[in-house]
Amino acid sequence: MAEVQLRQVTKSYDGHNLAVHSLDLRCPQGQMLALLGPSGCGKSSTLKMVAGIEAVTSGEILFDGVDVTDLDSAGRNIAMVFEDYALYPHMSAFENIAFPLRVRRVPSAEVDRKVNEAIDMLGLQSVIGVPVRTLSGGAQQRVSIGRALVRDPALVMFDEPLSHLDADQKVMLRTEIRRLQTTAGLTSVLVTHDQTEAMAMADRIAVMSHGVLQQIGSPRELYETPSNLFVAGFIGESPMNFFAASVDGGAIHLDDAPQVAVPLALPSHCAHVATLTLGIRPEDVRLHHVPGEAALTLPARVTDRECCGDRDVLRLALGNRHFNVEVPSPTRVRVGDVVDCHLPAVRLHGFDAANGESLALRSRTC
Amino acid sequence: MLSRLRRSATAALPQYMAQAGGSLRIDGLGKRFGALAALDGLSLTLGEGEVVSVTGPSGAGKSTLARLVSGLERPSTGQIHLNGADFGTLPTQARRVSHMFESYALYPTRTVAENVMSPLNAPTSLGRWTAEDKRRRSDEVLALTEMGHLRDRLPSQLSGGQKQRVALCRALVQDPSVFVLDEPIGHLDAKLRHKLRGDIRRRQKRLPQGTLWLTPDGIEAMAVADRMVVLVDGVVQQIGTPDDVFAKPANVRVARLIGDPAMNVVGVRITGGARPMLTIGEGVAAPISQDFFDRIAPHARDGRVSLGLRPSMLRVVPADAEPAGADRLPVTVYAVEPLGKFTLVSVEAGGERIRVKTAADSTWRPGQPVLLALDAAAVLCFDAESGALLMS
Repeated sequence: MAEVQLRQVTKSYDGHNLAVHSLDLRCPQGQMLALLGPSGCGKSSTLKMVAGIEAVTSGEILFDGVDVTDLDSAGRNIAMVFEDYALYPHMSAFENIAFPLRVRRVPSAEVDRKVNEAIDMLGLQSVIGVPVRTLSGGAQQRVSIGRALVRDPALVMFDEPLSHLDADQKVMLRTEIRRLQTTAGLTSVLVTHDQTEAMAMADRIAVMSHGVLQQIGSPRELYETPSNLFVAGFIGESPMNFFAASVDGGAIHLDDAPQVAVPLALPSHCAHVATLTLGIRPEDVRLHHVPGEAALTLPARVTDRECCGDRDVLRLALGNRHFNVEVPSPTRVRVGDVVDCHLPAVRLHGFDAANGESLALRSRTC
Repeated sequence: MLSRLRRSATAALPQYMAQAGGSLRIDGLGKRFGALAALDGLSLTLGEGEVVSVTGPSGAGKSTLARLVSGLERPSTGQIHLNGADFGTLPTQARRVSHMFESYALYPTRTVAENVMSPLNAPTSLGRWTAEDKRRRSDEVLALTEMGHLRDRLPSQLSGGQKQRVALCRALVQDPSVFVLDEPIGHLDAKLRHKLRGDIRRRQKRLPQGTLWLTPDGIEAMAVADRMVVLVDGVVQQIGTPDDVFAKPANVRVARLIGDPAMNVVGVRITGGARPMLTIGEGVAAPISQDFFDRIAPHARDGRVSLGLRPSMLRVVPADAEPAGADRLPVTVYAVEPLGKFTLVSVEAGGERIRVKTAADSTWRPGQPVLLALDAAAVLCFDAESGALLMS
């Protein structure tokens, strides 16, 4: 397994529009890096360039410090796990996994040993001789992972590996891949549009939008300290709430509730910022006051409730603006109630309204 | 040929066209394909402005139900009535069901706006809508789904999620007898999915029609519905409000589908006596409290019972933690998934995996021996043989 590095990688298909723009990325050995973003963000182009299926327009790709930019896929020793498994349907699980070794004319004793090792690791013992077309989607994808791992690749690339699975199998395989990743120390790149999958499986996540890297970090870093509005809004379900706010004489006020002071201040180097966006995650809003906690308190009316099992998502109206609050279920709050929402200062995220960049807001006593 | 068909459909309008809206009643609806019962005796009412979700894994019979309601499939058994009038024997076009297909089925040569307006131009709607009506209705649904700016695009110029929204608009734009939405928002990104499920539900609640909302996503099924139907292998497992289905899943099949993540269902063996013991799966027996034993023992069959353990009601504590009030079972950490809001820890005991929702900052490592702490009062019991819920 190799450390993978991208330096200033750019891709343009038509000569002027950039599908990927000056991308710098590093995936350390033994880690999974997720490329995450909506359709058209450049994640698949990046995957193809790393895999050697698509040429870079400029920049370089290094495996363990060695420039592989001009090598084809075979020369880079990449294994792929595809969205639709791409197995040989008439072959057994064993033969599918053995296939890459057979074409390399590996001695059959070694094929047996390696395939059985993969079968054990992936819990496929009970279906070893069964034609793969009769297996569930989850089992087929495990066979496909086995086929990728058995040949000792430098890098495994997972291309939307869970997209075609039923919800329960998705959750199960997600856990399996995470387990495999941490225990077997795979170096891998995951491409997905699903933030939950990226968070669950990857060590680090690169969030992309319109070909540009927005932020790279651990799942918790992205969730707790998003570097801009795009990342803040893209990561998290239910999504983060945003409020427009203005700065007046150093004090911050919400445009929807100008009479309420926000217990936060701009850092000194951001004195030029006049308008900003405040964000708070639905689960960080409290419906009860915690004594001694600096919080922004907003009276709001409950207009709707979604049951989500062990939590409820309440829709609240502040004037004409709506925002969501997630509370543990069952809640005593009913539609029509007016409640005080407490937005703890330490949980508020500030963004410069002009460019969407994160502002390091400081707590301030009102 | 086409003009003759059109004339006959229009001419037949007054006699047997279904009404716009009302309440739908389904009795014992079933569909067999050869030996396979795709749907087996489903009974359900769908009131005006009511949203009923139907959830289940693929192959559960959701799309078969949709096709039976809209008349694309003939039932093997059962009847359907709309406002008390026979509905299930009407030909497809006379039922006027607004059916959104999972596969979109867009007209590739028509723009987004033309696709959305197409049902308003259908033979069964001839003369009903003015140009202004059509414009207004399509604008409303395009705005609802944030598709207004793409109205002049062709389907080939759209992403999968945008195509799905066109199909959704084409269903919502109608004034039908009933709405049948087959996985209406499954291909949208999380943010839009979350927003639209509420926006669409609130819109549908104000209409005189009922809405059947089919989805394999258990959380979506709870979030959108007044009542929900859980379907597995063509058989209705449970019908109820989302709160009830979540709190009291009728059996282990429902329990395993509902929740984020779904409830853990774990087969255990218990033995009483001076020191009550519990064994998870094929594992080693561990002591449990008398209180816990007394709760589950009445439901055990030859000492065996399936426990329903909610991920949010469990805790992982260090293996060397001081014994406390709660029951604690020795387990091993299997995998750790940081999901931002919380961290999902899977633990293993006796070959069974159990998922636990823990704090976002938890630092457990795979392979680590730990204790699983559970609150006896929050545990559900299911029959070890039938899987039926035994206590709540």
